[in-house]
Amino acid sequence: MTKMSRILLDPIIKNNPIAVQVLGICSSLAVTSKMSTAMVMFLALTFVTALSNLAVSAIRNYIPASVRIIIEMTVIASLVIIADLVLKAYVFSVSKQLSVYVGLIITNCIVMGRAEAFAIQNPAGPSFLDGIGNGMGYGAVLLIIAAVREILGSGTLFSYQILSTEWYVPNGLLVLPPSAFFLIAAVIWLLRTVYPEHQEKP
Amino acid sequence: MTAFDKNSVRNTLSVSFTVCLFCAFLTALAAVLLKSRQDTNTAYDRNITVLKAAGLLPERPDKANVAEIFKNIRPVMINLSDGKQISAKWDDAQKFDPESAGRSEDNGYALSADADVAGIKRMTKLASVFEVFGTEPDNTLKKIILPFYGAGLWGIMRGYLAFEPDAETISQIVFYDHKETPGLGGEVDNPKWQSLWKGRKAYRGDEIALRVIKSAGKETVSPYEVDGISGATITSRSVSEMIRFWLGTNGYFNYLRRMQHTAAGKD
Repeated sequence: MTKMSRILLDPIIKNNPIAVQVLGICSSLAVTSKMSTAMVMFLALTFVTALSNLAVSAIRNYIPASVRIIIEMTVIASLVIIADLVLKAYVFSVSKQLSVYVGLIITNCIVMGRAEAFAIQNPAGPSFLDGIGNGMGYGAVLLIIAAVREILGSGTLFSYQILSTEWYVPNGLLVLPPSAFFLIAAVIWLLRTVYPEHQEKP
Repeated sequence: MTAFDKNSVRNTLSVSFTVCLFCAFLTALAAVLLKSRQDTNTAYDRNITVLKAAGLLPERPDKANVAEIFKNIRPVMINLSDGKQISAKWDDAQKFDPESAGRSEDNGYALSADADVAGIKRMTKLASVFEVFGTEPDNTLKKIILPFYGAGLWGIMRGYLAFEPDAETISQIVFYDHKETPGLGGEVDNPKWQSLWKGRKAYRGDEIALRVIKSAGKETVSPYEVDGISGATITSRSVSEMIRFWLGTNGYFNYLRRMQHTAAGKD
């Protein structure tokens, strides 16, 4: 793999932001009860991470060390506001369900973490790809969890009936946020079994 | 010229200023460009809820058929203290917001702790209700839709209560905004629970009789009682209190009384 494709693809599985870096957990509990919300959240976060990485990286040689975090925050907050406005204008019903969680992308550790850990010291191109990659890694976990939760919790997928309510009794636990804890744990377990190098020594 | 020092005070100030200005410009631009689209969406979403309350929501709602059905729905401004209609432009009545009216000095008043069972602190003097009429040539009143709101478990719950033309029998309840726990209090959105409201009576004489109760498994037989949601005691009680508040003299009592007289007079 070339260096560029590794920057893009590594965060999806091998260095997944949720399962390996354990970032962005809170929103993945909140928005994964349905596929549609998870999908929109994934797109919004990818948009914000990619563009904030790009912007921070483009001006990295001018950002004074003393106000570094504030400048990163300003860039991220502006992008989140724009994402929120676009969602309200184009996918209103989904944005209503996401409610505060779009605004909370600002505090999503993935966005800030990638700006601080990668974009501030790398050129614009790789930074942009890193943002897309991490957005997709976040999205991959989100969609897996949302698929399980929506099928077992409501018997639907993207709001289409999959399990008929005639014989399937929806499991209410999976609609509630704590169920995402178990599912995220399962994903983390799986990834650390496949990549034993991530296992911490007890 | 001295070498460029990114950590100098001068550079810190100029970079911060430039970034802020640029970001402010971008967000302002997005806000201005998308404003009209968002307003359309909010209004459309509210209209959908009104149609749901009226029981007129088409299977596949879109802008065209919603607007078509809305031709039979008339927003009416009323004065809550006497229930009389007051003249207002269609648009003003449609967009009237009781919450901001309640907060205002002119159109709102503070509720005493005893009266404030809905947990809203200030109440509006005016309200905008929807009167639903039959499609031409049938011009009779079909439904009366009353907006209401009040404190739930986690936040304000907002919805519509629809009455039959007798202004006494409830035909539908819907919420368009609430923050209740999904799966528990969030079940106020469940059509099965909402269907329990259909046919209930609001008043017994002058008394507000309607309430949400814990039936504990018994079939509810009284026309004044709605079974609460199991696992959501506080939400059920909040809904009961806020509905009773809006049915009272601070709310739509006088308006509904007038409508009852009109309905009786026609017969």
